[in-house]
Amino acid sequence: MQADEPGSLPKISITSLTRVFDTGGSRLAALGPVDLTVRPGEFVSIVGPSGCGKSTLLYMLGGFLQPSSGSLLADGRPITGPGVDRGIVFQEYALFPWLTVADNIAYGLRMKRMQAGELRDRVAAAIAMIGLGGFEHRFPRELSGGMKQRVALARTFIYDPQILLLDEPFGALDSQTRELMQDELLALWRSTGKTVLMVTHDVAEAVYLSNRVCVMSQRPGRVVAQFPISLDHDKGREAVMLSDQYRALHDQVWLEVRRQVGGKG
Amino acid sequence: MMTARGPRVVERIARLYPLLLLALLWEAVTRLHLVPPLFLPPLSVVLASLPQLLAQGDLAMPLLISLYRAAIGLVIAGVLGILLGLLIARVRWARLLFAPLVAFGAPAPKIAFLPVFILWFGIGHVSKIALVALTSIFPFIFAAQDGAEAVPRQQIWAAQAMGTGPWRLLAGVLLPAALPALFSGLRIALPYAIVTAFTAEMIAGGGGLGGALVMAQRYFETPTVYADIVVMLAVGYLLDIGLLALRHRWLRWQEESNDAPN
Repeated sequence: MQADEPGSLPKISITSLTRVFDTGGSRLAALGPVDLTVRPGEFVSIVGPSGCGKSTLLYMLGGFLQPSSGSLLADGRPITGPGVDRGIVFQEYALFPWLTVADNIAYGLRMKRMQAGELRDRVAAAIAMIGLGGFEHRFPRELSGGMKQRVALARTFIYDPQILLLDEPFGALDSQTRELMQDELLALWRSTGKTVLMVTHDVAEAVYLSNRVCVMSQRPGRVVAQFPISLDHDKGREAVMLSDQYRALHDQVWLEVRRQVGGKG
Repeated sequence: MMTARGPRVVERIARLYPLLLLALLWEAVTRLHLVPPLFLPPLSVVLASLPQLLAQGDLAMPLLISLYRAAIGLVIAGVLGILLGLLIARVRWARLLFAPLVAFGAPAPKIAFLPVFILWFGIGHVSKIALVALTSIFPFIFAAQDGAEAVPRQQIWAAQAMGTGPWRLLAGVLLPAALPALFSGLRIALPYAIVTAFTAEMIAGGGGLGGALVMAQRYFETPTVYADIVVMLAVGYLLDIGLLALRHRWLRWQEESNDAPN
């Protein structure tokens, strides 16, 4: 309902979107039809059963995969391919293994042809912000999973895309690191006001971070339920996660996901 | 550093003891007159002939000519082969156009083209360089293609999302990502290049160490023949060692699990 506020053009509009895979003659409906609108500055999470096509949806928003039918708009313009207005962070980090931490983070700025001096300052600031001072000249293979994902987040935030697409960004991390990273992401999002669309398996993560959680059905995935969320994060993680409001929301979303996993088709 | 390096060099030399065994066997067989010296002169005689050959300029100059031909051919093969391999991996029309040609050419006996190249380019450098390039281009093509196709799609997508265009993607992402595979390809292509240069010179003349070897054989200078062979073996071995050292330096970023030679 908030998406219909006057004067707020949707940041992302997804209309009747489907994706069909051709697998040697037989056609497999992977996704949709999906309708979803995300308004500027909103943090929306998508949860659903494995294989429901939620990552495929994200990859189409990134412009890496083409829809089979339907329309995809970012800022009112059709998405025809990858673009620097949409940054993406993957579960497996997808850092460039031949580049150091500093060069990985600088990559997007180099593509923008930023001047060397300014680039150096911005990269140094980003490295300080993610707490990786002293690791500038290390290669990704020398980093822990949490450090790699910090680098992946930093290299995406630094070139300032308006939309962030997060593909199970913390799925490969242990639970302590995951909570730490969630709070870092939350702080980044709150300070930058970017529009975020996150795909995750983790209901707790989705409810904790998002303004809205969308639950998808089994393949071919459709959005079957949406839960608006407004938690007061100023009180800190413990207060939020122990609050009745959070627990009630968590249980509702969890129950809906469970229904979808159990339900056929 | 010094303490770690010293034992490693000793260890590496120690691991060459089968060579020493072979050398001793060679020396023994010849000293006991089990074979005529015209067929196989003693190793000590062969080694003793090296300084003299060097002094006469009968070794260094032919070797440099051979290495020059091998190197130029290898560079041409590397540049063209890497470009072709990357294009075949990423670009549909390039795959449709070049993949059948590569499949057809790779197993072909390249030496058969030597008469043709001599006809076209003469018996000097150019025909040998062309044959070296033709022989050693295929390992580069396969290595570049395999390396580029093994890049995780998320890495490519991440690069595209950050504003990497198609050419920049080839040169700035797929090429460095394929470097470990390319080093493996180079390790195959380098001996191909040297062997081809020597072989072409032996068959077609036109100087070089291969030519020198054939000339020596023609005048029954058997120690010189073996001296040339020993130099060829040593050159191949030293170049391979140099290559491994380069890989160690340049591919520090590579995952340890991929370090094992394959």
